[in-house]
Amino acid sequence: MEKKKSINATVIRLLLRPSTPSLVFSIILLMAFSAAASGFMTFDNIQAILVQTVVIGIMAIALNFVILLGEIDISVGSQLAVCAYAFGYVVTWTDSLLLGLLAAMAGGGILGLINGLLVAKLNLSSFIVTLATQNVLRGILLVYAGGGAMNLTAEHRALGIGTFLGINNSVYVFLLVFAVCAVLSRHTTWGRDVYAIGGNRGAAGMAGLPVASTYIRAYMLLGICCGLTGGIFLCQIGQLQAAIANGYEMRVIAAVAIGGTSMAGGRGSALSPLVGSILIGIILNGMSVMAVPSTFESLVLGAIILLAVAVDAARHKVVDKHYE
Amino acid sequence: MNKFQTFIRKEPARICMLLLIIVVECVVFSSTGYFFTASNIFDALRASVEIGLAALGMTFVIMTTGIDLSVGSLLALVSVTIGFTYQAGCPFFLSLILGIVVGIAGGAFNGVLIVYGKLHPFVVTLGTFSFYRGIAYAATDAGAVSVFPDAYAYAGRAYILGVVPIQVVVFIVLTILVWILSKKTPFGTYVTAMGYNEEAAKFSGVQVRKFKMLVYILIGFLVAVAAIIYTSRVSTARGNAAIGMELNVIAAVVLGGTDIKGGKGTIIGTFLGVVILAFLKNGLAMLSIRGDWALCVTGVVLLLGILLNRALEVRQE
Repeated sequence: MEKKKSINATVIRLLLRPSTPSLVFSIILLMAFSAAASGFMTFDNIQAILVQTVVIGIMAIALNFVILLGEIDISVGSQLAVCAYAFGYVVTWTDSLLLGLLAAMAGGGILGLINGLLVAKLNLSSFIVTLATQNVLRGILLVYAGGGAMNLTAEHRALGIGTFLGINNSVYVFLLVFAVCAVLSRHTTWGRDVYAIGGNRGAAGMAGLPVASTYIRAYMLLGICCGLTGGIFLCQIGQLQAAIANGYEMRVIAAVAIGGTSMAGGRGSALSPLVGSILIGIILNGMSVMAVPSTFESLVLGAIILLAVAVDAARHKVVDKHYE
Repeated sequence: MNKFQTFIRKEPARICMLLLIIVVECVVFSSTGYFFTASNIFDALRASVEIGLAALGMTFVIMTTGIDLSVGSLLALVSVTIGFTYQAGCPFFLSLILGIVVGIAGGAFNGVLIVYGKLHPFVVTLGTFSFYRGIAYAATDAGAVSVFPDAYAYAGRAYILGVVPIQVVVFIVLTILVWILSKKTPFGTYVTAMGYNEEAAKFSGVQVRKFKMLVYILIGFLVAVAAIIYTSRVSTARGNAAIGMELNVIAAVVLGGTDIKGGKGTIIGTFLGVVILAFLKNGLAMLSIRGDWALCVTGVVLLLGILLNRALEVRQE
């Protein structure tokens, strides 16, 4: 009797984890889409889902840390675009994928540093700061790169369209980033500080935690990941225009929110954005496989966000009532 | 100390805003030789009336530590409601009413989720930002309506006395009304109190939930009015209206001195913020600067705005 009780308790605990609703929903959707459309459950299509998910996923995993801190960054789309251009220029100029990636990630790191400094050192609202940088970056990009398109030759696109053991290279990068971030969040002081500061910034500060540098590192990590994603994105698509990734920040934030990380900060795991971005990838792919007109995309995405937030609030209620 | 001196001492941020406007005007004037004509100034304001109306509502939203990212999408939704119901045979007056109902409903939907669902305003309005835009696209199949009664053109493109655009008059009248609401009614007092400390306000007997709902309903109504003006101005109702409007609305409110952390905010400040942005935009256009720079400039101005707010705030303490 005792053993059965504790298994039930474990199952319930598992069900109440932040990422569970999205995981369940993903599985349901997978089954629903494969039943509704014959072309869905093919290896190629699953590959397509993963490839599309990578771009949002890498940024979501990094954004997760910023949101755990109780802040936000809505400039990720613009950072992605700028770094993608940096990647493209350097790769075409030096013929080296590695240099291109380094340039993109360094560029992203600098952009992240700017955001971080403004938020942490000047104590400004992260929403306003990143709203400003989002538009400043996009404006500059439109002015200097608008009108034309940048193309990347096939030989440089190994990261996006090359495969290893049959799976797209970028998927491996995605998993690597996830692994690194999971380690960072659980096994480093910085990771622990992120949770502490997000939970109660004042208390953490008084306890002596380095609030400012934690913030800055989180934003820089996000910037670096945006740089990496920029490179992958260009490799996947092969062509850039100044307006690309416009609005991606919404998808990335949605991925994190849907995955179960609380927007108020302090609660969530590295798994949440992974699950959230995969769910969004499945939804977007499923809609295109079922030939749903793209006009419905915003509608569905919006509805999913609202649903996810409501479910998460309900979940919190249950957790708070029974476990805390 | 007379009233004027008290005013200056109390609100240095607003004074700086005023000075900023004057500086901007002077720059444009010196480069182009013409700005300080009445018709020019009114024309500059014309295009920003929609942003201004939404900003009036957004002031209260931000004062209660909330945010509303869905204003642009709601405007589009109201706009297509007006256009497509009219096209489907509705009497135009009824279409306008339906538009206002949709606007209020949109605001109320946000309000219910935020106030009664206790969900985070950012995520809720992020969801409705996509959702309302999605409805606007899906319900209209991404089409557009461009045929309207002649009298409607009057709303967006007519001038009173040949000089003052009618929508500017509407904006000023509504600004005054909303100002009265904020200063002379309990609504304003309670919203400010809730912004500074919601718990304290609740324990002081303020019906927090009711007033927060009113805040979101008000912005929904103002967005509906803005949509009516917008649709007349561009003579088209389509789903991709007012994309990117959120940035300008929030920038105007922040420039006006409203604190994003809640509590402090004034309608006059927001009005000034709207005017600054309007003049900036107009100035850039007059200097023949590419439209893309407007994004950059708005962003920079937004940053300067909060830096200024922060600097003055610290100084006052």
